[in-house]
Amino acid sequence: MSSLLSGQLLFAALATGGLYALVAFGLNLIYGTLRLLNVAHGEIVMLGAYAAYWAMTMMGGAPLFALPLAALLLGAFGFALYGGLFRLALSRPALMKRIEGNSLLLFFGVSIILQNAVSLVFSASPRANKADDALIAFADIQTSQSRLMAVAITFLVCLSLAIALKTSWAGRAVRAMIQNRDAAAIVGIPLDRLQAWSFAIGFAVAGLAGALVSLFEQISPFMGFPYTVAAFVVIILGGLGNLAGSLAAGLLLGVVETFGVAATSANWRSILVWGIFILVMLLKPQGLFGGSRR
Amino acid sequence: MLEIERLEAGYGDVAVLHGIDLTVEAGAVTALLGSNGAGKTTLMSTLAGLIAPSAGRLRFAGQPIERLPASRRVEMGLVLVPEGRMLFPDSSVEENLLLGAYTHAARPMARARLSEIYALFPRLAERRRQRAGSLSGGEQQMAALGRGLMAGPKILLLDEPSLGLAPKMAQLVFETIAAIRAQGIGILLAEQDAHAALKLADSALVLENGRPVLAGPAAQLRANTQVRESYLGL
Repeated sequence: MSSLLSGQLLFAALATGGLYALVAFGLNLIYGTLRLLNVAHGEIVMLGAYAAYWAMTMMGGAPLFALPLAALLLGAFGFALYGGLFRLALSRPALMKRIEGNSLLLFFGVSIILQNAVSLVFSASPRANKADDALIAFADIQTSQSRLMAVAITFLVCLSLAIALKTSWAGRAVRAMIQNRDAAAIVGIPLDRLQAWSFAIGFAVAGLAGALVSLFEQISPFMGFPYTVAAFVVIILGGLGNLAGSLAAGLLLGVVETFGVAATSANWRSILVWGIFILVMLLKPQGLFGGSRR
Repeated sequence: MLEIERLEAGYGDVAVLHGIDLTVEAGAVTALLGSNGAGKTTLMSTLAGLIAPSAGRLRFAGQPIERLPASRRVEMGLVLVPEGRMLFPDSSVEENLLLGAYTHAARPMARARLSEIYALFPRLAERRRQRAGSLSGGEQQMAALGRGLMAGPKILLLDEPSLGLAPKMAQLVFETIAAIRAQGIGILLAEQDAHAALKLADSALVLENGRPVLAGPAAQLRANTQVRESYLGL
């Protein structure tokens, strides 16, 4: 049991949890402001990973160049996808009525196209960024330089997002729009612009998460799906549309998964994650943190 | 200030408003009377930009606005206080009020206007940290009025502000409307309580099944037999 108290395990749990929080944030932002369920969200993570792989291993760039680049590229992709596909669908009342269902199909198509496009360009075989990482040890924790940097960046970004959400006018507008679209419109919040930015920010954060993953894990065109699943579990736990709640729930899921697997075995991973998910759905279907904000 | 010409609007294929003509002037109260389902809320929503008109013209301060999104109309000074308040229930009272000053023009004034509104409604100052969803109906109406005023409106659209309120609270709402008019703000007031509305208003329009049936100075409508029978119960 003493191994469960190790700093090493805590570090791993926070690393996983932070990443879940980051990935789920974008999914929840787009759901909250637009009521669209992006089942291609994991593919955005995958694209971010490939953007970083391209910038670092193929072009020889530094991580501190590759990470913002991945976020920027995916943010631009979010703008384009919103402008090209969803603005039209959302502006027509007839299409808008079925948008929650249709968006699943649209995003499912986007997901398949992206997987195959990346397979075509980079081949389907897994890739890895060249790692000539220095190992770092403090207390009883051993890790690599890039992993430590990834965890630091993850927490910095999560914290900035939480603060911006709480204190900025844009954050206020997002929280208002999640609660009531019409009310947001009549206080002067430009819904269309905010929706475009939700796509851009949500995709940029997911792309950044993917770039961070690529620093220390193998990447492949089909790596996205587990992230989609994890993000869905997290936003249900945290409350649909409750952005601060999903940041906390991401951390929680990472901790439960890491410590649970350490206490049992890797075979229990899915049982633990889905067990918690089902338990929460049964006991507190509105989410752990005050619930869905409509 | 706000000119409405042959306006038609509805929901999907269902037409609700048929040929509305109306002008709302700055510094005056225009009452919009009619029974439930006459189209008052549809008219208000169309003016605010929540519903797109199917025909007709809307001009605000001389500019056509029928194609502008709701947020642009708020920036110009056309602000709706909707039926049912539409507050942000999970946000605090103060956050709701601050959101009223979301537009770029209103933001620099936000703190100054906030203290004006707290002076106008001391109850809101006491409850500034509470969730808006936990307020009583009357307090919610104050918050909705306050949020509308935070935008610095030129014309305020008030949709059923006294609905569901205790008589004393409704009295306070009507007194507040008179005070808002005194500041030079124009008001379009949709009301079921025709008595109170006609006492306060400068002019009025009566809607029936989405059609204007009577219009004129409030004093003239108060004396009208049809109005007295159908809306004043005399």
